Amino acid sequence: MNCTHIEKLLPLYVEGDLDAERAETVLTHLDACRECQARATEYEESQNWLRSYSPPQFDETFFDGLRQSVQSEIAWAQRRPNFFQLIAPRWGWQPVMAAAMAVLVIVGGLALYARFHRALVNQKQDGEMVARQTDLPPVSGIPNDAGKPAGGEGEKVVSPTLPPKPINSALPSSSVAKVIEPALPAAIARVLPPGALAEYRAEVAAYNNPAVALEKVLARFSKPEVAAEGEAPEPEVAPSTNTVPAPEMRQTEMKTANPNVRIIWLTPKETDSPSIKTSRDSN
Amino acid sequence: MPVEVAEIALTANELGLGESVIENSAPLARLIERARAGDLTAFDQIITSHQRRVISTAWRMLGNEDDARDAAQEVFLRVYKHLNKFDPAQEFSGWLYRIVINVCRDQARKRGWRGMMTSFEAEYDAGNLELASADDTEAAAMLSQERVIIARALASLSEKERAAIVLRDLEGLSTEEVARVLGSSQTTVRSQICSARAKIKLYRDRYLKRGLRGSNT
Repeated sequence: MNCTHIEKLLPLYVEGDLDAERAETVLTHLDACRECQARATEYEESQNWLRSYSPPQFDETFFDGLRQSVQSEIAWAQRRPNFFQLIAPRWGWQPVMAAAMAVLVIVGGLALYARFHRALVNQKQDGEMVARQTDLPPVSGIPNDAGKPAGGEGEKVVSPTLPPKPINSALPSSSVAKVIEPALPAAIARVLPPGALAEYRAEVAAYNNPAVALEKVLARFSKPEVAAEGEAPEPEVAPSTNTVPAPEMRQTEMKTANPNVRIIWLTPKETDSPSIKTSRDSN
Repeated sequence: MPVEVAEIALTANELGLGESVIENSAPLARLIERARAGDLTAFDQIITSHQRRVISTAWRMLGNEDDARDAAQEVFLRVYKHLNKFDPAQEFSGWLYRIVINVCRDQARKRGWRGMMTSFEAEYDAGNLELASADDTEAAAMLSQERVIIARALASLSEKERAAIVLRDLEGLSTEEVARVLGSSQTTVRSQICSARAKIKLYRDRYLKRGLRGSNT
């Protein structure tokens, strides 16, 4: 065994923690190696140094205080009621359990009521929003049957309102708020060909844009005339020159196949109707 | 009963055997039975017969009087709480040491290693580490400083190394007893002790070198 191995065994050797065989090996090496012998001596001194680490002299007052604190802790723990004893000191378990169940039922009922109440409030607010959407700027001119707009060019047609979104609710069907059918503006009704109302409503639901829906329906119904004339209806988007849009509203005017009919679409300034852009792009 | 216990303790001290002779003797077994039944007087006697050992071990593990007292109080409270689980076939001191080591470990973790170092230095600065009976002021100061250095050396060890070396080299337990207390194998304990002794020696060597450098300047 070389010095490196011996040095690793010295910490155990100096305190007699090696088995007899290895202790004998170390002893033999130490007899022959002065360096390892010096290291062994250092380890012994280190152990003696460690053993000098003795606690201070604690007097009887210290130990009396320790015993008293332990005893008082034990006494307090024995006197202190536990949780269940605090809840039901003299009652039985059944009244306590019944009271706990009653509290649970009340709390659960209040939570359900709050949830339904919130849903009802949301429904009311949705209904008010839809009603507000129908309040658009008044019509300034309605084209007559002769095809001439009463007030000159650029006469407005009342922009039709968007159909309200169906309201989803967790309530039973009997209490679901009825979907408000949009009031079809008179101008649209006059323009729509006979029998096209259902189709118009379908197009509005599909495109969510009454102007585009009206355009599609009119184009579909006026196609034979256009084919005969050799022209295809091309709805255009032209900026209005004579009309003054409502404050904070953007006005878009569209021509239809019927030259006497123009669609003027009013939208809030911050939004652009993508469908109108689409019709422009297609042209 | 108290007289009987006191006489045995006196005899053990005269023989230099300490408290270990009381181990599992008839008086201790009877005290344990009575304490289990709720006899606080009996439990008080159990505390009396083991308090020095508990305080000594806790002080060596934690390094200051206040923490040692808190740890000792917690040790005896746990002993009382779990006395019903104590198996009379095993040694009471081994079971007690296990509780002491666990409590000291929990307390050291709460404080952290830095806290432990601070407490040793605080003890030194407060003069609590001086020997009570030292007449030579210079020698007493040196001994106090030695204690601080040894405390630092112990604090630099890992939890398991510190527990192993305190129980083996300072409390005098055998490797087998230390293994039983720590719940490890004897091989593991020997390895921990070997590592701890090497680190203590290295710490001492560095301390001595620093001291020599200081004296040479």
